[in-house]
Amino acid sequence: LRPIPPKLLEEVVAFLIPPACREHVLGDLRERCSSTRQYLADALSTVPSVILSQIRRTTDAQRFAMDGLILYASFLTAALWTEGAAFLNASGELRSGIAAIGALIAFVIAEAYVLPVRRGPTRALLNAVFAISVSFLVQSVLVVIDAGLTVSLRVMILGGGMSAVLLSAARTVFPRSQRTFKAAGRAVIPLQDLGERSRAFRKTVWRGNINLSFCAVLLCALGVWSALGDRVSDRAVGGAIIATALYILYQVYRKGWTGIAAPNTIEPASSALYRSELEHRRDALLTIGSWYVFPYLGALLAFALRLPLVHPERLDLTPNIIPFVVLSIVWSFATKKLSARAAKKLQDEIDRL
Amino acid sequence: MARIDSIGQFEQLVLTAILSLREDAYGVSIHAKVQELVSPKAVSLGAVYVTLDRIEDKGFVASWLSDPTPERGGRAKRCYRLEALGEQALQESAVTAKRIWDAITEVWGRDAAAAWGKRWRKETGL
Repeated sequence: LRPIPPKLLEEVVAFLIPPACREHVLGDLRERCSSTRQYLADALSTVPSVILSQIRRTTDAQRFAMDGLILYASFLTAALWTEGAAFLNASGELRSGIAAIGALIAFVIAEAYVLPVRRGPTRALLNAVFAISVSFLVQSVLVVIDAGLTVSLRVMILGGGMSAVLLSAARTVFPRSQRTFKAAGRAVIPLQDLGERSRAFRKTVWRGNINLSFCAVLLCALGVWSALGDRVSDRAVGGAIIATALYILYQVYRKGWTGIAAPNTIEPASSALYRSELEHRRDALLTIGSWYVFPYLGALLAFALRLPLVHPERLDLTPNIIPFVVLSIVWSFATKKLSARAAKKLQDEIDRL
Repeated sequence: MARIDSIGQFEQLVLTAILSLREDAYGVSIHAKVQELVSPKAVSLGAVYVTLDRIEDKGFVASWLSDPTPERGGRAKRCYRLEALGEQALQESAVTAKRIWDAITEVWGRDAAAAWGKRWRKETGL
């Protein structure tokens, strides 16, 4: 008689394994089961690995940085809105960062537990609400340990609500597209496949362009917010950020939207047309640093450095901008690296034509 | 000629296991084969899953769920097969390994290399 693991233990393990791999991992663990102790040891070494692997599949570096920025900016905006500049005098950025980190980790894990077929706006919103609830929990524990590291309940409610809407919107509009070009490197593409591949490619490009435009609009909003300030330095930095955002939007139009037809365009399958679109996109991705990433990073850094400019009398607040600056730099380099990788895959596709 | 993603040593091992198992390549059998290849070192099942996910994302292997079986508690197996890209990557790795072996043989001499190989086979039981 084959030994079988205790039912309760198997149910706990099933609960912990992400649904996308639950079926076969549970089956493998059961097949290897020789005793309860061995099953438990196997489960303990396997479950963390499959969770991390699933996180890697659902959240890439760019998405992670984007989610982090959304959460951090939401809590910081809510705090400045409700408590004003006084919030900055008490390590405001650090406290917003702590509130955002708890929610970010919870959100990334929750996303790993969604089956690909169940992805959608409702699920993304539920995950965002779950993440904010975890952040509330972290804050209530921190109140006991050190209340100086927490944000107020009003900030949590306002920032949490704002970030839940933005997070779910960002995940819905820019879903992770994986395995789009997984066949690259194989034999020449058959002519009958060209139409379908070309449509899939255009869809990916349009989604990417919406992503880039949305981020530029967010930057513009930051600029407007800064330009509405009372001080001249605030207005000057705000004006520069708006100008950069408009430049970026123009470049997204020039390099992203032109040269590639809409996904629903119907025309006969043409290798030459597909190739020209692929080359156009590849060139845009290879030079993304000059027309998107670095102007964007410059504007974000200007926004961060606005703080010591507006409050020269409080230079001790300057370290508070470090989390924002670090996140901005990480996001920029992640975007650049992912673009280079995508360009390489497009080159593979071109080689196959 | 299209360039393919480079692969690490553990990815080579998993690809080799899938190649040699043919139609019977799934989590448990791949883990057993990899364990045999790296013996006496130990390999966790989790590390095999992580690598399988990664090489699937790279397009080196394809997977599908088989029918459920009673000995697995009525759960299906996820079976894997090598794709053309995976075969190409594995071939490139094998060529590199051969070059390393040739270079070693050239420096140590054929007899020393054969004695070393014999001792290694004895220690690993392969």
